[in-house]
Amino acid sequence: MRCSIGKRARWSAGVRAAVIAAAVLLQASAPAPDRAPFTVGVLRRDGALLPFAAWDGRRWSVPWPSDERHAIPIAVSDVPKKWWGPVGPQRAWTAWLTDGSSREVHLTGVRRMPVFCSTRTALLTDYRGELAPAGEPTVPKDGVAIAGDVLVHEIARVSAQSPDWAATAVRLLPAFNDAENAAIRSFYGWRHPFPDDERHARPIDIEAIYRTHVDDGLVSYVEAVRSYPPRAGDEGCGLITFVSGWVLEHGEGDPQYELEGRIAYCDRNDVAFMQPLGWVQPDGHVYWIYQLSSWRDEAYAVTRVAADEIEDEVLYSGGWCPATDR
Amino acid sequence: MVDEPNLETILLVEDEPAVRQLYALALTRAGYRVYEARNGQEALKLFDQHGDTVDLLLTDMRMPYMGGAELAQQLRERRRTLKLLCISGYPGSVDPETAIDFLAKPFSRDDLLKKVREVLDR
Repeated sequence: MRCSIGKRARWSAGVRAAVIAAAVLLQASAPAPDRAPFTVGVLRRDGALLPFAAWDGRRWSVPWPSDERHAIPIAVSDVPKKWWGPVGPQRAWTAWLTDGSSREVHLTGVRRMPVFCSTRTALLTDYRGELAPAGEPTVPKDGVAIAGDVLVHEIARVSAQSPDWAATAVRLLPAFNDAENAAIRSFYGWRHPFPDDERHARPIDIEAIYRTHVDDGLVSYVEAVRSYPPRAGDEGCGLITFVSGWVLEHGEGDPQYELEGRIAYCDRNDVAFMQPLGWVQPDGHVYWIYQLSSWRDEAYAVTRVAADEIEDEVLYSGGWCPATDR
Repeated sequence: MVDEPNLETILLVEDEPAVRQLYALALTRAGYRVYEARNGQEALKLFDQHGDTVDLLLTDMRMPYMGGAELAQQLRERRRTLKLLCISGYPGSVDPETAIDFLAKPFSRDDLLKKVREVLDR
């Protein structure tokens, strides 16, 4: 369900304080930092595992190759040692699924697997998810798999029925407008067909809110869209503005926004969506693990999140198809 | 895109939308102004508009219509001193005549920022 709100309102300070206080209590019960090394991979529904990040106890690295020119190992035992990262070769991994469950999975082979129009060297596992729905541009991801010992926690998906959802839609509006204005300015010699006042009067639809409590506040990732009616020549598919990014809430102050806007048509070509896969806390900091994907590419990322700062740690190109439009 | 006038400016050219978004956010957070283009042709138009302020071309090598090497060559013809950093999964494919520096995929955020800083400071 979508929530569409076109005029400003305020989320009461009392409600926000209560939410943040609850967050602090939740965070206080988080497990103690674990500095043991581990390797993270994206676990696809077909059982293919794509490693993309490693933690050595102090920092992140990207030991698994993403290019397509290296020799393919014949068997798991032939995988070069440096590809595994500091944790070393591991036959048994722990799958942390987005439904909140976890299970052990075992490596059964290594193979070049298609990802969009490119290929990646993947580890094969004994995991099998449900059949993927038809029409998906890429194989769905069921979670992450970890070699090594670290707990993976769920990133909360805020319900569209919750008060937070409606409140976020209202509070986001000024920052959404700023991101839309910046996106329009980034085009060369192009003027948006709808003037500023008309654009800003149109409602926005929140499409997703992902959220984690951190020690002194809340970190959310939001995706929102503003749609415009098709004009002559749009072939029934009007312009949209897709805005996504981070909302950081720290204490009683105003939220801090890190948003980016994209101007696209309703087919959402060139728009990237997040799929949260989980968060870890190996050194006291909270790191989100997620996929960002469009209709023709996917990337995997690890981002350190705090109530006052966001830092990307790993940016990994998962696979792509070239653009077909100029 | 950030509008502050004194920021170092990067023209980021990357065909993959999700990857481009991640790179752009990482660079913006690190304090750079970032202009984004999907391909070489868009990059040329952006350079015509903002070229005076662009300090570094950060481009993927493998793109449709106009690859990173050709783009680098065309922009170098417009400004010989333009700093170039090419991203490639294939280190061997970088043309040493046009791409002075390259960053081989995969890389971490630190690798990216370190290399960008290194090229800008040279």
